Amino acid sequence: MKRRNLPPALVAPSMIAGIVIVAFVFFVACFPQVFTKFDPLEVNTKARMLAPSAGHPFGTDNYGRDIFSRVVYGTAIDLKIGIFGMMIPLVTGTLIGLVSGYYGGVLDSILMRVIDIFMAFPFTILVIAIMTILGPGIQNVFIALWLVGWVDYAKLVRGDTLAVKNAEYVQAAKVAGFSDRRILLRHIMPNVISSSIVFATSDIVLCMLTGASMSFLGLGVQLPTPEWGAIMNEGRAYISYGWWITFFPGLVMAVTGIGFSMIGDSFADLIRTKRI
Amino acid sequence: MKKPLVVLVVLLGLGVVGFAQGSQESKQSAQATGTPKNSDILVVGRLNDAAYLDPNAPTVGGAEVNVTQQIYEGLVTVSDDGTTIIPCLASDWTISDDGLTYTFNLVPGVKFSDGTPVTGQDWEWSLLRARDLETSAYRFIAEAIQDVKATDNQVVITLKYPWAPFLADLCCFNMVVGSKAHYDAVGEEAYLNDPIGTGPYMLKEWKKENYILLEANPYYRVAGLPKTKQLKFQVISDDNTRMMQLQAGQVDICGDVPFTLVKPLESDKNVTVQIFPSTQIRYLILNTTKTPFSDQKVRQALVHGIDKQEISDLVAGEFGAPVAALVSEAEGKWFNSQLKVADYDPELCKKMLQDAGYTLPVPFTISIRSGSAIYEQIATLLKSQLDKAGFDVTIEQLERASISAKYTSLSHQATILQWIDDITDPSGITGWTVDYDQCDSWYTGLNDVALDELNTAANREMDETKRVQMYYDIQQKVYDNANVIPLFRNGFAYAYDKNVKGLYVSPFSVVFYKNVIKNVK
Amino acid sequence: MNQLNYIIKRILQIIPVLFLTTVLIFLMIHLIPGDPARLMLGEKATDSAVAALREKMGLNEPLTTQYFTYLKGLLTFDLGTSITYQRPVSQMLLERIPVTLSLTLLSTLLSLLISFPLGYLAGIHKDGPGDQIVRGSALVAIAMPSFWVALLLMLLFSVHLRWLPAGGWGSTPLQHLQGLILPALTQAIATSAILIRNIRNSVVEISVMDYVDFARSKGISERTVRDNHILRNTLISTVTLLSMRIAYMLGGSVILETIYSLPGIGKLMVDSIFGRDYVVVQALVFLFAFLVLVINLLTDILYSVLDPRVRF
Repeated sequence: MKRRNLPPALVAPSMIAGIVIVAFVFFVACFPQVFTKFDPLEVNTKARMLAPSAGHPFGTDNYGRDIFSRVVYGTAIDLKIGIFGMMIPLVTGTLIGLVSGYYGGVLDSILMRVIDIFMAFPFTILVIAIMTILGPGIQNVFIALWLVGWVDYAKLVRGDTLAVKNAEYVQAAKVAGFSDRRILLRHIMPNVISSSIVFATSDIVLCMLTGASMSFLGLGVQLPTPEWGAIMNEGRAYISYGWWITFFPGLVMAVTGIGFSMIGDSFADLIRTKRI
Repeated sequence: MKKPLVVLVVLLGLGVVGFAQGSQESKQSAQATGTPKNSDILVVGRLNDAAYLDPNAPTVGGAEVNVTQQIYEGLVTVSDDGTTIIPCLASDWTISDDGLTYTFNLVPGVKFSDGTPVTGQDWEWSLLRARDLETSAYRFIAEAIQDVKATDNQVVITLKYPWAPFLADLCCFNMVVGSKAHYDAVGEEAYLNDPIGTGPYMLKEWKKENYILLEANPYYRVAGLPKTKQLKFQVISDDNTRMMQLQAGQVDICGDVPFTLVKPLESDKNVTVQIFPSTQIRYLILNTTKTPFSDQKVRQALVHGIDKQEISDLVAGEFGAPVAALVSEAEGKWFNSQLKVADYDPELCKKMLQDAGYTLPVPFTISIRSGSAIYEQIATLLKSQLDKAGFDVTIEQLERASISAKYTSLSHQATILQWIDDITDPSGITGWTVDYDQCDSWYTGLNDVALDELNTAANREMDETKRVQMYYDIQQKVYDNANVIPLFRNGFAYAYDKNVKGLYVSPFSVVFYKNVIKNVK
Repeated sequence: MNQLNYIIKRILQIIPVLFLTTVLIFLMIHLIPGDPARLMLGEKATDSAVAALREKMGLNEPLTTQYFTYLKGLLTFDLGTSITYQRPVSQMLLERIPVTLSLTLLSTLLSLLISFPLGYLAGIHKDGPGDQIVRGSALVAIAMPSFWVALLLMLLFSVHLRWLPAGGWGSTPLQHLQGLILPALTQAIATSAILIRNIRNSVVEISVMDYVDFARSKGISERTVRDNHILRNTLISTVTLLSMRIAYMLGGSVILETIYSLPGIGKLMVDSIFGRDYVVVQALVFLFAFLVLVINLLTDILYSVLDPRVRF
């Protein structure tokens, strides 16, 4: 590879920062015991509602449980919700959008109508209805996210595919006799996927937020699981004098989201540079 | 591109300042024209709107009753301390020796808020409707009535059998007089939303899901009441927001203050926090038709695995206390004070389980209604305690319809429910707990026939001393059965503007606003 | 000409979608176990009262009959009577839709005001300090949970500064507006963050696309190139994202409506599901579906107007 073609995006500071953050979060998820000696479920009536201090960096809640340890142990749960909740819809939605935009015609019409029906139901209502039918619990949060999440990707990818399918390089590829599959995957997808990838990184966060919203409504993860959204929800009742219960999980969720987004942005830059 | 942006930002900023000014001004002008000593209006902030304003409607909860109690009145009512039955629209009464006939002399000259006089026909119609309306949630209160005959001066009620709680039942919020003429004029459906009563307030305006505005009944029989002419029940659907509005002066009174929010309110010098003694108790309900709680030994072991003091401290703080008896202490003489809270001894619990032949841990699921902070707290603590006492607890949170479907079909293993007495008599809670036909013994499925018969006899016993002893026995038996385990009691927490005076909440959660005023400068 | 045909075709396509939607809605809400009558009667409900109430509400009719009552109602613009509240659903909607609609409008307006200029400038000055700050802020904004932001905003502006009321809808238009500012801002923060990043990326990408080069080669000034071509094409993907967000917001945010005590349709929908108020859910979800389909239609038409390269 000639020096001139080495993508500057690969070593961009935001990419590195993003990778560092996400890698750290993964590490915390896999080895929580390295970071805290407290049991996230341990009730300790003598240590109730303590403000952040050296012994309890994130303070304690109404049960005397150490918030830092709850956030640490909750990392794995929220990462799972974010990543697995995004991954399946990213793949299915992108493929559907590509096919729909490229081929057009009846196939496109039908797929768009299916998407219309999905989008016709309010997202929150759909998730709530699914959770109410299936029952509470984290597995059903995944199912709800997968059933509903692909639509956004399909629409985005289809829109971008429509815009480029008549571009010169696509015409050139067709004239050259490349198969549709090759054109779709090798020529078109790299050009339309950057919107999806940028969206996917925010989608990881959106999935985590959906998980948190389900906790808000009392569906989703069950007590006393320390999912970040559940901790924030428990802290709502104490917000005026126990701000740390709601504040820190939100902060950690934000930082995690920032890490993913930085990777996504740099990745999008990388793809774009490679194309040229 | 930049110039229009700057203009927009400036406009937006001016807009925000303008709105802020607007809100300041409206507050100031309200105060400037408030030259009388007391405010003309009281604003009560609450979580939910009423579904109906007829106490004989299908839905009758706190949101409904708090309003209808200002509008409707009955023959008798309960004294402020909740122990004595005192006259209301009846001036005095006699009870026949066989306990089957009650004769009430009516206070003369009582009118409805539309100016029409209350007639004997209105009394007959109202009380029989309370008994007969199939879709009424509180129909069971009037079950004992055989017939009602009334003139404009007297109401005579005959019962099917001697019924000791009857006078207490008559104090219930649905045993009130309504206008038959009004009902005939507007029809069944409209009547549920259009109340006309004899009480100190009448309905002026009802913006659904927003607010209910009541104003003084010009025909109220007591001169000078209500002291505050307008009463507004404002819906604020979030507890934090509700308390913030109280602190910001947008509402004057809030009931049902969550215990978690009491602390910051107590330190606000513009707000008074008051806890009123109540009959509210939380209970652990164990389903005796399923393992492991079909075994009485497991239930009795579990009682030792629960640290009620810890639960009471964490959930209700200084406003609660652990309890052992089924009936509330606020019911006075009916409360069995001899029953003591069992010792918290997790090792004993483990031993009792093992002696009964169980391998530890014994698993079970406790199903609770989601979205209720109190039930969630209780369940979290129960799990933490019982996991150390030989059990393995899973918490299941279900939304309203799912949880009620679960326990009414006896599909649960354990759940947490609560009770507030409606009447100054223990028959409410004991009937619900012990009467198998009513609701499977409070969804425990325990058919203790002897206990059921004792309860029926107690309801018919007109000699009070004998009756008190019977209720003592009932409470002892429930304690031994350990299918319904009382956990703790808590008071009713109210927070109000420091200038509000005269607020009183009875142990039955009755609030009469007719005496409440708010001083303004 | 093609465009007109396309529009007509799309409008006709909505009809089978709407029909299918009604079937799905009906099935969805009736599949969830639970009894609305028992919920209404509350904790002290006796079996006989439940039975009597079910009979009165017509809940014992066979499902097909209930479905056709629903369908007939929709066609005659009769949205039915709420089971829980025994009021005409249309009346409840007339009270609530303006709330959610004005919230959505205000927050969309705020989002556009915030995101367009910021995203555009960030894209034009790619990798400059302004770009970094804008992108950084957007990153942070996306990751923050809405109820977290809502509570913090309320703590600051309502409790400490006393500039704005702590939630509520009020009774005068001025009070309505005051009550909408914080929730609209909460929503706008999230929406802007998503839009900014997309606008910025589109601006950067499109700067290098072929037809911009072509325009430059024709001698058109740099400024015109930017303003005409980039802006127009940025609009396409932004419009997609925005329409998705508007649909999302129109569904009503139950969380924001709860925290800010706004009587909107989001909370009504969720409460009706939890209360098994079939009639309200069926009417509301259908109305929402109708709205979304109309928005999608308008979006597609906007596509065809904005980008002459898009062919159908």
